[in-house]
Amino acid sequence: MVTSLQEELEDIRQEYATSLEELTFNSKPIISNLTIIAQENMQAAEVIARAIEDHIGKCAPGHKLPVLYLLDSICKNVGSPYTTLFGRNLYRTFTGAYTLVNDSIRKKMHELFKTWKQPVPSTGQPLFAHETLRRIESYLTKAMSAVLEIQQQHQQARPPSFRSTPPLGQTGPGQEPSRSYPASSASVPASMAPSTSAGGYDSYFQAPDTGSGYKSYAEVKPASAITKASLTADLSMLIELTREKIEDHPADVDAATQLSALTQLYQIVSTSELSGSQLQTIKTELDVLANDLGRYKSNKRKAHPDHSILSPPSKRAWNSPQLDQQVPVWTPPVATQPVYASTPPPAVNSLSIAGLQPDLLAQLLIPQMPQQQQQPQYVNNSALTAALAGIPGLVLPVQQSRQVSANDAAALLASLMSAGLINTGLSKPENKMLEKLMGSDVELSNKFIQKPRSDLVVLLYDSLPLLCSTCGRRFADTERDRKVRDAHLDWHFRVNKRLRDDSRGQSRSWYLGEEAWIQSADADADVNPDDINDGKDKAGTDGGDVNNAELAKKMQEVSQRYISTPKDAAVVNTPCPICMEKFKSVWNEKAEDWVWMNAVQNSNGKIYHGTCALECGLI
Amino acid sequence: MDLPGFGHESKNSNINTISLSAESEWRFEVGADATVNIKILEGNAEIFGTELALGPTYHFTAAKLSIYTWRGCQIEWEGELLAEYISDESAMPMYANLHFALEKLRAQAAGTDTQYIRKETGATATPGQPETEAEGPKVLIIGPRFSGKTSLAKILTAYASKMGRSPIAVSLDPKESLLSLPGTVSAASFATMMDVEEMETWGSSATTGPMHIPPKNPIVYYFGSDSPTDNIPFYKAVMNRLSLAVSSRIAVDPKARISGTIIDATGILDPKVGYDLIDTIAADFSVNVIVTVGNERLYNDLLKRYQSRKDMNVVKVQRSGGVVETDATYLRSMQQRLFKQYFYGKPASPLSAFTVTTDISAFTVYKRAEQARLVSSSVLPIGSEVTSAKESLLTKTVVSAILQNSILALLYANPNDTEDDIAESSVMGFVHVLDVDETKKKLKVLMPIKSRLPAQVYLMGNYHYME
Repeated sequence: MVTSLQEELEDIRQEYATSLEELTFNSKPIISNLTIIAQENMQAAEVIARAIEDHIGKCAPGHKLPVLYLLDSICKNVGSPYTTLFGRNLYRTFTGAYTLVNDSIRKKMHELFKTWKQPVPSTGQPLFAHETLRRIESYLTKAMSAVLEIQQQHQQARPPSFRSTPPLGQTGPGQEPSRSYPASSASVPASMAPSTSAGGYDSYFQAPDTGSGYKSYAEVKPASAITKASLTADLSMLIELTREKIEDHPADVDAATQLSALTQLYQIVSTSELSGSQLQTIKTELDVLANDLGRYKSNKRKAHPDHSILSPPSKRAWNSPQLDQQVPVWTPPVATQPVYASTPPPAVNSLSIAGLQPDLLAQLLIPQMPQQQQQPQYVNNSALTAALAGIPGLVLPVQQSRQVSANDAAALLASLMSAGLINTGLSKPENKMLEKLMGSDVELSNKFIQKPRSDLVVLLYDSLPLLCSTCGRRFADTERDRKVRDAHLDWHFRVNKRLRDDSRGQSRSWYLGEEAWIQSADADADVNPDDINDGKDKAGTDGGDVNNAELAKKMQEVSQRYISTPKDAAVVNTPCPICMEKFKSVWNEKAEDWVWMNAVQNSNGKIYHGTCALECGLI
Repeated sequence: MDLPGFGHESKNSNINTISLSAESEWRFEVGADATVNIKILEGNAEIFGTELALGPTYHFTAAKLSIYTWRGCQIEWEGELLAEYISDESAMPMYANLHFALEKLRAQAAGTDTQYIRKETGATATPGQPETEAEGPKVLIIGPRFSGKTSLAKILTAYASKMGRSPIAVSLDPKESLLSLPGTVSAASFATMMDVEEMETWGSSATTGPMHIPPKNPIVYYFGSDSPTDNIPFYKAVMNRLSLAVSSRIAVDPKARISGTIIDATGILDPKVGYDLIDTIAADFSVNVIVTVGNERLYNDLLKRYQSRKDMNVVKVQRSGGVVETDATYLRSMQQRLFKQYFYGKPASPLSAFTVTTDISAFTVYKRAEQARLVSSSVLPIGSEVTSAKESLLTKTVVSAILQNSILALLYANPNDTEDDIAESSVMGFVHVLDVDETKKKLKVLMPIKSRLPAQVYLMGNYHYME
């Protein structure tokens, strides 16, 4: 007996742990599903709480926040015993996550923590024990002050924001602190060092941090975070720079393309609402471009201080946590370029302000050389490119744009569109295919077919990184596909519920007739694209992903349909073929006739209850 | 002593684990009375292109399948297998390339079909901009029997829907069954994945209740026997009707249009009847890609045959080494199993069927006309049968004890429709005649759904089922 109970609990724990794998982004449906499961399995509260704590401990930093939200949701919606269970390890759980995540998530964690301090209406007490909350609070306070301290150190070392020119006096040593940053970070409490700057590319949670690692502490102040304003500023600067380039080289077609793409992007950024992560992605892309343009300028050897505002060359755009696994693959190109040794252009350009001779400037530029040479090499070396194309995950927007041309802003725009960040054309799958498939080597010929091309298999797996753990269906990691996935998970949830609740026997349905089949596109699709585009997760009929509210509305609508009571005695006594219940004749004022309510007739003259027909997907 | 990890071994001693290296496949066969539980522990695995989830247990009964992995995987299985082995010689890389080449054509179509773009992006039509429509590839798969045509069709369909397309799969081999029963030709749109546990039939058609995998809706026409050569004119008639339904669907469904069609043809290849049939199929379904599987002569013949057609692309692939040659006995028992599944479902997801008794007089049964001329027409040159096409394809059958145990197709046709109309009607479902009492003039029929016996036309074929 004892064993079986333990086994049962173990099963629940494992099942819950598996479901947690799904929670890789802030998804309300997943969080509420998991909350409901936690509520329904109160007897297993202990193992569920453990599963969640374990998961927060071991999942990628980018995934920690949604799991913390789940913890929060369970505590707030279910309450005891979960509050007690989580309360025990809350300090460790919370601070453990805090040390590993990036600044934007930390900010969210601060906000989350604030809500915990609020008294719960029902008890008048905060969610967790005072002592626990006090410990976390003091930890957060310490963390903040440590951050500010470091930030002050760095403000002397590098420009505090992208827009300002560093004070001349500091430019000389400017390289020093940034290069030795890992060393100086040792003064930070060990737990505070974000996974840490030592360039551990083998550690995969490095990924989300590396992009911002350099500036992570300096950017804690919200003011220096990426905003629409800072992006548009960067963009207008880049546009100006590109214009200048065109003036120098009127025949430069690339630059012209680039200019038009940048102008478009400027319009998009300034006119549409973009989320933080989208801004971050654009920013990362722009940094690459800025770096290239910066190099162009450096080559011209007439550095303008007012253009030194270019931000440091960003690393790869590892914004997408789902792709973390690919990081090791990237080690070779990145490793030759010590993370903090490649001093950002601001420092170099500001050196020129000091009136240094071009030759000297060239020498000082050397620290940058590895990186400068690397990109052209990487882009031009077709063998390497081909090899890289075989690496899973390389269809990332960023890398695509680099493969095509490192400084082609048109590619940047395309990649942003394909990433679903900017919806100006086709959805991502199409664009992705275009990138990878439109190569002239892919063709319907025996030659192409016979030669194994396992690199293309990426399209079947890595391009679709989000996996439904119930059925194995895959989704692309785009905003649109996430919506599709949410709708899909909702669908599973409802089907499971119906399978549990519905004890009626099932039967084989009749096949659709010709007309119905020809028109059945929406019944076959599980998610209606119109609804995804509208941003609503409603949809199709017939076993598809149908939102409950939507279904109820449809049911209501269908139940109001009626037909005149048939005159034929045989037909009058025919029950609904689905539920086998007879129809009731009622007088309808509007029709001035006896009618059968909730009745529909198909093309063969068969009469069904509207609601039955809807349930079976006949209408 | 209840130490974790102990005590399980003895209980689960029949659990086996297999490690597959990248680009290899595990082929296995499950007997009709056995059930094998399979679980993917790690890596990725797919059955005919449909991916298996990590974690859940899949149940297989009466199946000859293979699990392929692109990147390697660990499989746990439990139960009794008739045969199993690992092979690292797979035609999959080739099949995948074929898919990518087709996908490129779909992407090209997607980029030019304005209706599709609007539907997918929710964009509104630009006034003054001309509307353009584009069609995805329409692929006909041809090969000898046991060359793995149907598996290839399933792989191409599964990969297409995995990449977000909604291809229409068409099965023109009456022996096989796509979401329906033997003796039919059918088609369905695969907007969502196939149910790997019912791979034999491309998944399961809709039932009255919820299903774990979104059910697929087939359009079905009844031919009535295993081989098109049994009655070529009738076969061509139902196939033509099916192609009309498919092209009508394509006309109104932009996503199906750009996704294209994947047609699994029969294995009839003799240069007279077979090639004539291929011509007919290619014309009916506007085929623009022909894939020959594992037969050089066929490939070269077709290459010559269509060399004047610039829009036709003929390519070849090798047959998969995993194809199992089966005999007539196996085919019979498979078909019997499918009849049973249609009415009663599978042990894991049982369905209820219902018996009704009715008057013989209320029952209209047709049979396809089996005439000597039909045999001879098959050896006439192409086009010659036109002269005899005026003769009816159907004959009305007297309801008698001869119907006992028959599987009848219930058509979307009324008894007073013309014979031509009846011959062109699609199938609504199937019934099984349990008993014919000629003295009492009564008929006992098994129905898949609880209802009166529909007073429509029933079409009799060559299939019987013994409960």
